[in-house]
Amino acid sequence: MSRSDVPPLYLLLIPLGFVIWSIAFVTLYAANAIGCAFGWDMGAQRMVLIALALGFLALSTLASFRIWRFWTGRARHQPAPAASLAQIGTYTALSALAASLGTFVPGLAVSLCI
Amino acid sequence: MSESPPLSPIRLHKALERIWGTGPGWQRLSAVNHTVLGKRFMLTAFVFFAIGGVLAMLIRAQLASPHAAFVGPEIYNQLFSMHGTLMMFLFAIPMLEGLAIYLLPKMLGARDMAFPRLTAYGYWCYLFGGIIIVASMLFGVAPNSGWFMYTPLSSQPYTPGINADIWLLGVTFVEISALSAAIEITVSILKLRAPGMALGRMPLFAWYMLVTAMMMVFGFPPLILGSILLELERAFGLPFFDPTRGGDALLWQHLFWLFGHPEVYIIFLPAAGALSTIIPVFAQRRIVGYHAIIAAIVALAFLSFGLWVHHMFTVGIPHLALAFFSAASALVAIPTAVQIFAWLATLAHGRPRFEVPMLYVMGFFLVFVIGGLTGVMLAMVPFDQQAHDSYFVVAHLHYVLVGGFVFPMLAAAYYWLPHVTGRQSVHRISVPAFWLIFIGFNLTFFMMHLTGLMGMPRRVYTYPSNFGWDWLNLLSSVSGFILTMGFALFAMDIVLHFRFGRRFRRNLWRAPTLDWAMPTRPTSYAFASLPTVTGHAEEADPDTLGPQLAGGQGYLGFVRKNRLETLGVDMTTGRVEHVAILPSPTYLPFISGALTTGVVLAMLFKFYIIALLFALATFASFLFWSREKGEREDCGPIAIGKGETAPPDAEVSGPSAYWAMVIGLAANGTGFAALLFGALYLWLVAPAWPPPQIVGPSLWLWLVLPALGLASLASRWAQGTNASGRDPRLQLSVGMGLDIAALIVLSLALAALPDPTAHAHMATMAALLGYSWLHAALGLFCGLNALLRYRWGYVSARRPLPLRLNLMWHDFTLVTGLLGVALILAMPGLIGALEAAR
Repeated sequence: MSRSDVPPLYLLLIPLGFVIWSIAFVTLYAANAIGCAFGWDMGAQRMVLIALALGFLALSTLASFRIWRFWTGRARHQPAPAASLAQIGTYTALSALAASLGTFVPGLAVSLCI
Repeated sequence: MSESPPLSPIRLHKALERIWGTGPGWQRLSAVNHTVLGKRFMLTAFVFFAIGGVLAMLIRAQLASPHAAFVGPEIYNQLFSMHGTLMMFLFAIPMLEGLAIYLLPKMLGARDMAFPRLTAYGYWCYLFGGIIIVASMLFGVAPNSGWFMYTPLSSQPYTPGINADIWLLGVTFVEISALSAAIEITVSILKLRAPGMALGRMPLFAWYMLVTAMMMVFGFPPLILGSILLELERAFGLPFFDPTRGGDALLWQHLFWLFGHPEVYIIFLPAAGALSTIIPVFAQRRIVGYHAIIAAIVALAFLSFGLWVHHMFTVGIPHLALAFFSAASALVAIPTAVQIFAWLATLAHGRPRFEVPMLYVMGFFLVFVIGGLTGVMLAMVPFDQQAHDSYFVVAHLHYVLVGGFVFPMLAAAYYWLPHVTGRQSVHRISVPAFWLIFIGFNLTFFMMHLTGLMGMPRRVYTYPSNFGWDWLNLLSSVSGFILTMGFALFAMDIVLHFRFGRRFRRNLWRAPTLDWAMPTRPTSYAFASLPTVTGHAEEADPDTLGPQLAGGQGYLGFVRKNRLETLGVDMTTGRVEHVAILPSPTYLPFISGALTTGVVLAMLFKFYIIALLFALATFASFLFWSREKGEREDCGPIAIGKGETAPPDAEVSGPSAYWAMVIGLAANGTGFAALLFGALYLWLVAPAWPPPQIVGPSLWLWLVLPALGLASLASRWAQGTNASGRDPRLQLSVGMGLDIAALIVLSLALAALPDPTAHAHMATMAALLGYSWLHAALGLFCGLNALLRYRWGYVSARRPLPLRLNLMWHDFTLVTGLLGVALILAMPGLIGALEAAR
């Protein structure tokens, strides 16, 4: 029996953008909690959070681009099922990028600890 | 192996029905068929819905007037706690599971779910667990701390009876059943489809259920863990949530809402899947935005996990965290809106037929959109802080849940009931039933927005009469009874449907999906032969396809060795991969379910030795499951019809059971991650730290990893031995010996811990070791299972699955043990660092 043209592992590319978003979300929340509990200097803590957010945004952008390239490349050679998965994967990656912008950027301006 | 000679459609039907069907009388207890069990799930869920509805009426009777003496505060607490618990855990989730179990194989072109016995076991667990919970009301000891069981209210000092224990044990029982259903649904969708049904051709309902099931896989473990921890606190005094001993009541809220918020979408998405199936049929055109909808539900699934704290906006959280969760809460409206607009566009571009199911679809649009908009209001922190714990929230959640689940389910009931019964609805009273439900619902719950904005708090059994709430509450109560009359009419309509419904031949609604390409009522085997999908599965032609499949012109249009066969496919492409051989009807799931109930009941009454004996008996019964299924010889590829062949499931690298283990371990890992989170959360945030005594490294702790590592190595050794064609029993026996050694080491490491009731630090460390102990014990069971399977002839170099599963379990136990021990060893340093910073 030959191997699948689109191995099951590739399916993980569909939620990958949101997996990055989830990791970013938890990381930023945890960093904020740790910073407040350890009494980090507010300026330094904000810089850490901004750096983390920018890093994750860059990663999310890169992932979106790579996912789009991957699926569209696959779709050229194998219309079904890659063409469908290409659309779904690209939409999802772009949604995740938009969610990252919407979730992380505005929040970083507000006060950090209680 | 050659195909049997073709049978006539009638003989084929009789031959298939003989092996797939469930017998009459007591044999019904042995049912494992998805059609039977799907109906049982839905019927049982509807009964619990009716009970929950009666409780709602009692609540409204009490609140109809100020200072009412209808029930006192204790009974009222039980009423609202049970109402929420019944509706969330015993109605909504099982109803969606039942719908999925009934429909998925039929929509996907398969003959059954991947693990029929697991379906049956899940049903019995659900039924018995539900009975335990409901029966508690008869004895006046029903859960009384709300359906969310907030600590410290639900902790032992404030709820000293067994009320909270019934919730914790009963709901955990039901949740484990739901989790097993989620694993089964995921695997069934990914592996058991019609040949050619690539993922991108799959019906939207299956996509919705796939995403929902994955959400359940990752969403339920935190609640199961939280319930276990709270029961450990209540029964044995381990203070995970007691702030005076290093615990934190907010940890419960985190664990609960990590489950609780995704739960709302877990309930909504299958209903949306039903809408995405129904709307195109009545709009008479294909759905608009198929790919965008799939992307939207994936987005929705993730975003729904990222807003659990929006239930905790008032507990005291840094502004930055509030901003994150507020943004995520608002953002989740966007993928929801994508679906709403796709459905509206489908209707706008089609030629809608407004039959009865569409009445409920229209009701859904109005009610759910209102609920969504108030959800966006509550996502805004300042507004939420004003409306929190008021009737505004009650109104919002009912608009979302009734709008997002009940209305679509009523549409689905009218749409698929003819499929279930083979009869066409009379529809004489379905229209007045709809209007009573629609008007009654809106008058009941819209008023609660107003009482909430006027400051009326929820969960209080009475209210004063001088705040202008009186007439609104009276109107809510009267309307609540109108709503009930609507549901009573609906129930009557269903009964009349069975009695007076006209029979029809095929595909009543002219639907383009495979579920209608079969006789209605459906036969036990669903398809006499399996279809080939060459285009989109939502563009099928059931009228032409149905007779062809009934005539055996598809795949597997024959009976072989009295085996229950369906096809397994490659996950993504839908190419035929193997023949899945499913189990025949058996009483084992019922027996295992009854024994599991014994575990729960014994724990409830604190007979822990008896509970242990029941647990051992349950696992012993699972070993009998293992004895009944499989192939005792290597047979290579076998004929599947149309001149093609495929190997049986035991001889491929990725059968359903393998993927079930992968997904099961993912769920298990989520529970473990939640435990790690709990330990770190308490260290970082909880009061009454540092602990009076810090857990240091003991000799036994250091020996845990070598013990688990050696057990894992032995499992690998056994697999390698089997792969080379030799007898692996010695290696498996060694592995089991090492499992026992690991259990002894873990027991000694646990015994070496300071008193775990003294402080949450010790309790969490004990929980981490206890987790590894439990997994080592289950590893012993996996090894025994593999050994017995080999002895019974089900294992060979080409059929290595039990050994692979054994290895996967042991590797998982090793990795989680490593992380657990690492955290225990790191804790003294972490505690010291935090204290130094403070």
